[in-house]
This record gives sequence, C-alpha cells and structure tokens, in this order.
Amino acid sequence: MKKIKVLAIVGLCVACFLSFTSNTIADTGVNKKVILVGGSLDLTGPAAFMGQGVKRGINLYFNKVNAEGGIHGRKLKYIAEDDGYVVAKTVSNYKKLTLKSRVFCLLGSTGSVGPKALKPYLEEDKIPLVGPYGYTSAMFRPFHTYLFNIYATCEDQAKIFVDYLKTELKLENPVIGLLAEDNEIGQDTIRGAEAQVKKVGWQAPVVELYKRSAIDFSSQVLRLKAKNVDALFFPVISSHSAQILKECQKANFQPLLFATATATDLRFLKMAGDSAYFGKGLRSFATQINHRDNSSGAEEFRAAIAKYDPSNKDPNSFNLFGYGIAKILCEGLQQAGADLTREKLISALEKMDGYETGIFAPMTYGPNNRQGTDSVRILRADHNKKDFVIETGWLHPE
Amino acid sequence: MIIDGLINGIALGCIYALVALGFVLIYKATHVINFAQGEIMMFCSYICYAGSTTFHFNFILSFFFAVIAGFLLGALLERLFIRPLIGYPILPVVIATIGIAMVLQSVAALIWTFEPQKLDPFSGSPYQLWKVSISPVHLWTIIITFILIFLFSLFFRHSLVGIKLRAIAEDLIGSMASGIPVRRMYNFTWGLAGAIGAVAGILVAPVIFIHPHMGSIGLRALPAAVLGSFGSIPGAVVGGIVLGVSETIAGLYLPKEIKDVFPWLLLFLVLLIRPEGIFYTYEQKKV
Amino acid sequence: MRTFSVKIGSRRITLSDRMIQENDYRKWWIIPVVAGVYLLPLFLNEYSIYLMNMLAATIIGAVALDILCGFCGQLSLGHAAFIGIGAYSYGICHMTLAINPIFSLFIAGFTGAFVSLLIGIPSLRLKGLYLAIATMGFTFITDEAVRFLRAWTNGVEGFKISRIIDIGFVQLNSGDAGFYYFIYTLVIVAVIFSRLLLESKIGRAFTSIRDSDVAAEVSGINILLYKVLCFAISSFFASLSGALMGIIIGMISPEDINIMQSINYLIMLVIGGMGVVYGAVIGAVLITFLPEWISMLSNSFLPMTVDLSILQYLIFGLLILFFIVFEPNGVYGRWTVVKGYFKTFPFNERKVGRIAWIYRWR
Repeated sequence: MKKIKVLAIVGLCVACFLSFTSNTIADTGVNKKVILVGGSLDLTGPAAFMGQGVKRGINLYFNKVNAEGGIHGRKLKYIAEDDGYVVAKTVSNYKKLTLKSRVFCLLGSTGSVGPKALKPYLEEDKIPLVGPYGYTSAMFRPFHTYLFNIYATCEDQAKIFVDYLKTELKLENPVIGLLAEDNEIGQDTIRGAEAQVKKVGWQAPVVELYKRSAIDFSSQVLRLKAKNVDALFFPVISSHSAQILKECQKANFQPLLFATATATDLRFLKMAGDSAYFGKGLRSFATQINHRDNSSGAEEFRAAIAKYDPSNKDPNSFNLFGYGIAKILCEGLQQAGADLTREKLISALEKMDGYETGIFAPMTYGPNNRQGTDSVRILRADHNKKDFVIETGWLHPE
Repeated sequence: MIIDGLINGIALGCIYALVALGFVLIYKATHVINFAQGEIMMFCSYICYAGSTTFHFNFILSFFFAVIAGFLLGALLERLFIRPLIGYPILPVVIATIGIAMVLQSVAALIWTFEPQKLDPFSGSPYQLWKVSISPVHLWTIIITFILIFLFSLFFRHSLVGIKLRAIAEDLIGSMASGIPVRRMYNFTWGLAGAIGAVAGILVAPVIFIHPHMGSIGLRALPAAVLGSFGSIPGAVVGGIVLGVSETIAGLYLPKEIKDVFPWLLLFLVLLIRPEGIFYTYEQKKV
Repeated sequence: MRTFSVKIGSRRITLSDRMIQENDYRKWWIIPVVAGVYLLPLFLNEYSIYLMNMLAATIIGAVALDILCGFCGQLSLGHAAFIGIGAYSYGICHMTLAINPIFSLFIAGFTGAFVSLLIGIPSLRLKGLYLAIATMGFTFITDEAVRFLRAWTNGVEGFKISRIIDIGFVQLNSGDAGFYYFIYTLVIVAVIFSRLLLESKIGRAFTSIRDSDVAAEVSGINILLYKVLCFAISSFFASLSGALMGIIIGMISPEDINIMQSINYLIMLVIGGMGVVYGAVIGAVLITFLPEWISMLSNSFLPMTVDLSILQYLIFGLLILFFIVFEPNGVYGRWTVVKGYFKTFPFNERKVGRIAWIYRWR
C-alpha cells in the first residue's frame, strides 16, 4: 500500500524531472557553426494562418542563406514555438527559447500584446526582437532598445489615409469612417486618424468597433452608411475585410474603401468576389510589395520559393513578411561581423540607413529610432487583371 | 435601416438556430452539451469544399455528400467516444466533446491548413425587394432553415423513429422497458445532429469563410439554445432568431459599450425571470 | 465498534473507529511531499522554475474551481473572469495605488469574492447548464467592463504588473527560486485549507447541495447562504491565482479573459478527478506539463523540419479524449480503484470495475 504510493510519487517526480532536462548549447545561441533564432508565433490559435505563413517565410529565407553559405560561415536555424495567441504562453515560450533552447535573438511574433508583454524581459536579458507582427506604435513608443519594428503602424496608415484623401483624391471635408477590431490596432488607428483630421481641419471620423469573435458586420456597416461616410478604412484581418466588403455590397454602400496589407493576397480577392470591385473600388495600404508583380524583390522571392520551398504553390503575404524580416535580420547579422554578440547585432541594426529589402519600404534604424519605416504604398484592386495594381510609390505621413 | 437590420438579424438568427438545433437534439436525448457541434460544422463544410474543389462535384451533390458525411461523422463519434461514457456524470462527457473538438480542429488544419477557404454556392449580387436588399446567402439560409424546421416537426410528430426519440427524451427507463433500442437511437441522434451541423456549416461558410476556427460560432449559438430552454426544438428556433435580431438591432441603436454584451444581458434577464428558458415545461425531479 | 457513514468527495464510505484512526495515521506521506516540493528548486534550471511557478498559480486556480464545481456542483464557465479580476485588482492596488503587495494579494482575493456575490446571488435560481451559460455571459461582460473602465485598467492596451514583489524583508522576482518558495507556501495553504474545508461542516453542506439540493434543503441546510459562500470562497482563490499569474507574466489584457481558459480549468478537473482536492492538483500538473512532454518526445523522435505544432495539438486532444473514455473519474478515480484492489489483495474480485460517481448537474 505505502510502497505503491511512494512508487507513484517517485514516478511522478521522475516524469517531472524528465521534462526539465535540457541540452545546453552555447549560452548566447551562437557557436562556430550555427546561429539559433527563435520566435513565439501563433501556430494553432485563431490567427494561426498568419503564424504559419510567417514561419514558412522565415524558414524559406534561412534555407536560402544556408544554401548560399550562411552568415560568416554560420548556418541559421529557426525555432518556432506555438503560443496559440495566449499572452501567458508567449511569455513561457520566451522563457523556453531563451533559457532552454538558448536562442541568440528573436524574430517575428504574433499580435501586439505579446511583444508588449515581452518588453521588460527583453530589457532584462538584453535580447533583440526583430519584426514584431503588430502594427501599433506601442512597439517603439516609448522607445525600447530591443524591439526592431518593421511595419508602418496603423497610426501612420491612418494619417496617410487622410493625407491621400486630401492631396490625391482632392476631397473637401469628407466624412471619414473607421471600422476596426476593438484592440490595440483599432485604438492606434483611431488615434492616428483623429490627430491627422484635426490637423487638416476636417470633421471627426465616424468610428465603429467590433470584437474578434464577431461574425456579422451588417450593423456596423449600416451605421456607417447612415452617417453618409465617404471614405472607409478598415485595418482588419483578411477574412474580416472580405466580410466587410460583402456587407457594403449588400447594403449598397459605396464609399472609397481602404483595406490594409493583410488584404493584398489573391486569396483575399477570391474570398471577396465581386464585392472587391463594387462601387468606387478597393484600395489597400500595402506595407510590403505585391509579390506577384515584376519588381526585383518580388522576382527574388518567387525564385526563392521555386528553389527552396517548391511545395508552396500559393505563396501569400505572410510568407513574404517572414521572408522580409528574415532578410533584415540577416543583413544585421552580416554587418555585425564574424565575432557575433547581441550588442554588435544591435549596433549593426542601428547603422542601417535606408536599407532596401526590395520587399518593405527602405529600413532605417538609429540610436533613437526603432520604427524602421513609416511609409506604405497604395495598391488598387483591378477588375480586369483580377489582381492589385500599384497606385502610388511609398508615401509618408505628413 | 431597421428593416435591413431585422432581415440581417433573422438570417443570422437562422444560422444560430441551426447550430442550436444540433445542441438541442443531442441534449434532448443524452443530456449532454456537445461542445464539438461547431467543429462538426466546420469539418462538414470542409468536406463540402473538398467535394466541390477536389472531387469536382457540382454543388448539390457535394452538399448531400457533406450532409451524409456529417451524419456518419456524428454517429461515429458517438460510437467511439460517447457510448463508453453512458451513465457517467455529464461533465466528463462534456470534456470529451471538447477533446473531440480539438481533434477535429487539428485534423482539419493538417489536411486543409489554417488559411481561410471560400465556399460560396449562393454568390451573386443581392436581391432588391422594394427598398430592402437581401443577399442570396441570407435568403437561402432563411428558406432552408424553415424547411428544415418544418421537416423536423413532421419527423418528430409522425415518424416512428421520431416518436421513439421523443419517448427516450421523456422517460429513458420506460422506453428501454418497452423495447426501444436506446443505444441505436442515441447513435441516430448524434448522426442527425451531425447532419444538421453540416447544413449549418455550409450555410455559414459563405458568410464567415471556412477555416479551422470557424467552430467558435458554436459557442456563440449556445445562448440561443439556452434562451429556448435547451431541449425544445421550436425553442431553439425562437431563441436563435431572438438572439440574432437582438444582436443586430443592439448593434444599430445601442452605444458601443453595451452593444456587444446586449445579447448576454438579455439572456441574464430571461434566466432571472424564467430560470429554465422561455420554452420550459415542467419536469419532475427525483430527489 | 462504532460505525458511521460519511461522504468524502463524492464517495460514500462507511467508516469504523479503527479506519478513522488509520486514516489519521496514514497522513505521514504529506511530509515527504511537502519536503520534496521545497527541495525541488535545488535541482531545477531557470526555465523549469518559471514553469513550476506558473504551475503553482494554475494549481490554486484549479483548486478554486474544484471548490465550486467539484464540492458544490455549481458548473461554472466564468472562472477566467475571476482570474482576470484578480490580476486587474492586484495590478490596480499594487501599481496604481502603491499598496503593499501582500495586502494587494488579499485585496485582489476579496475583490473577486465580492464580485462573485453579484453573480452568486442570481445564480441561486439557475442550475447546471443554465448556470454554466450565465457564467459564460459573465466572462463576456467582464471583458467589456475592463475595456470600458479604461481609466483604471488601461483598456485594450493591457495592464503592466510589476514582476517583483516586496514581502517585507526580501524582494522576490517572479522568475526566481525565492518566489517559488513564496508561491508554493500559498499553494500548500490553499490545498490544506480546501482539504479541511471539505471535511468541515461547510464542506459537507456543499457536497450535500451538489448531490441533491432538494434533499439538502429538507435536511435544514440554508442553500442561499452556502451557495453564496461557495462562490465567494472559490472566487477568492481564483482571484488570488489570477493575481499571482499576473505577477508571473507581468501583464494582463482583456484578451486573456476568454472562455477557453475556463474550459481549460474544467479539463484539469475532469482529468485529475472532480470533487477531490488532490484530483485538481494532479489535473493542473498534467495539463501544464502534457504539452511540454509531447513537444519533448516529438522533438526527439521526429526531425525539427517537420511542422509539429498542429500534430502536438492533435496528440494533446487525443490524449484528453482517450483518457476520459478510459477513466471518466480522472486520475484520482482510477487511483481509488487501484487502492481498493491492493487493500483487499488476496480477496479482491478479479475484475476491478469502474466506480461510477453518480451525480449529475441537474
């Protein structure tokens, strides 16, 4: 009787201990042969298609670099942990990556709350995180040494939205509508639009918010229609964007429509169907290039896909995002020299000035600048081509 | 605007009602909430998608393909995981259904990846009836839901199997004693719920697209089943429509602070006045 | 020899004087377990200590849910709300109002207990699944309230909580072994408290309400009082667990208040064994470490290039499913069967059947 109890307890302890065994690599995740890069991505949660896409893109670029000889002779290895869009899991993944896998630095993240929760940890451990996948100004405001932002934030995008309406489309005091998810991204958008609208002296924007679990956007769209909105900006995920477009079509609501970078894929256009070309048409604020056009970056990306990930028949914008952030990190690692430390990586990234990835707008970091870029370009959904065509170059908020 | 809102609400409510119907059928027979109902729905709409893209069936054929697959899936899940748990307290069974949900979700993700897919058999521009516009999806959703409800009421009132199912829900021991094959009936109920789930999944797919997480609509439809006092089929329909309409109307007219929680406040109110839902009939309780 | 019948957990056991003495005598194993818990950090690396601290907060949460669902039979899907309330009220007390962290922990607990009265009292009219759905609604309302009270909670941007707590004579960082001792002291207090609660008059009232509220009322138990009390005690511990979790993670945002978290705690209870404190503890340990074990095993057997995250999720789901089909009474239920087998060793029946803990939430 007692023996069994003791045995059971011992068994449980052994099982616990087994889970604690760790294989130690070099303390900073770098040795002569390999650089370990980690990331906590949403690989199974509600936004899993983003996490999966980003991971695939990162691995694609790393495979390419490794096949071309690595960085100063070192091969790159990416370790992705799944957080299922739960902040607690993001933090424990961070602990796992830094304490168990011993990664050199972090690349990529999902959501905006995750990297925010990681900020104090990054500060303590002095580990840089490149390319958080959240378009909020909280990533670099207040200034944070270890977070290297890639994208123009939604605040910038909203400002560019207002500028574009004023300068290019020559609208005079239009009613601006914002339809966003009730999270940090939504708040960022509202902040940006309100600030810029005040600057140009237009009326305050009409704001509608919804919850992530929402399945019906009809009431938001009908309310926007009742307020006679002339231009609508919705920085939301692609499937929600498609739903909003369909609602607009159904309600016969024809404002100027502006989506965000997640809505630049062919799959998105397929989901939206005719509603993407309804009314005055759809434009998207693209933070990266369209990988189907004929710019050099797009060609490079397509060549890499064909060579190193031929099973990926339908590359998407998340693959491209992962590819791009991996490229920026690799540029930093290359400039940091053969004797690699985290401090050297940070100072190498800080020296980056207008680095052309061919994928994002030129990247600039500095001792007091972690924003990367604030520019987006506008793509327009073209009915004849059934694809997005480039409308403008890289625009900056004024 | 209010008429548009009402029509959107009714269409949304019909989807809720179809999902809730799946909950209600299973609850009525086995007193278990099937948390995997949303995932069965998701899986069946993927099957319909696979039917129309991989096997190149036309839509009608892949629709029936998915419905039959839904029936078989429901019956299979019952046979594998729920039957061994007959006679146990409900909570382990409920958790088992959550396990089923996780498995279905990950199997779907393994086969079809996480990217949203499009299944839109009712595409086309919205119909304009007088001053109101209604999209084909919504129109078909409302029509199919009402046809299904009608068929169900016929089924439960007039068919032998339906009467047997009602007998089981009424008095388990008594129906066992009178020779009704209770286990086979349970199996059949799960199959039926799976088939309903397939219909609901295919109807909701054009609206929210198909992705492995679309099953979360199941959780949103639960209040519909509760409002109509779990276990009542007309209750599920009324509950679903009340929920859908209250959601859209609240979205139109209430300030944003309470519009998202309005259906829940409504639910609280109903439960406070009638703790067992609107359609509750007196049930004897053994002490 | 005097015999009488008592209920422990959900088992009805006829005890004699001799057995009670034996029962007391058998408690010796607590000492090595407690000693083991306190000695464990000596053998652990930093990541494992972090995991163990996270586990401790989870254990308190699971025990809290066990008091409500397992002892008293009130099925709740609003557990995540109380966890969130705990984290927010700790954060507001400690960070905004600069109250001593120990006091803040208690204030967090009592805030949760107070809020639980708000849903505990209406819930007196609701039973079983209806209560579950109502508490689920409470989760959504809490989420919305957190967004609404932006001035205090910082809204959707998330509330930052200091990971260092000052307990008077020493400062503890939530990733360190020092915090480990602090948090496991709380865990042991919580476990012993709920164990004693179960065997006290109050606990027996809870179990009788669970088994049949009508019978309990007839035998003179004030159902209103005890149900509210149960909600309050459970929410106190849930909020405490939330506060501790907030300290460990360093952040809380409204997105953390979701139903999946509540369901996760229910899974722990069922896997471990409902209505028994140790069952909740075992469940918390298993659900926290199973993904770790799965990823460890799959990483050692499969090459890293294969995308494992979905596969791991699948295996996790399958394990839960087969585990419940194999033993719906949880680990502790199986343990009682094994114990009975060995206790009566030569004379046992050949086939040890499942014991059905027959009670339902109806």
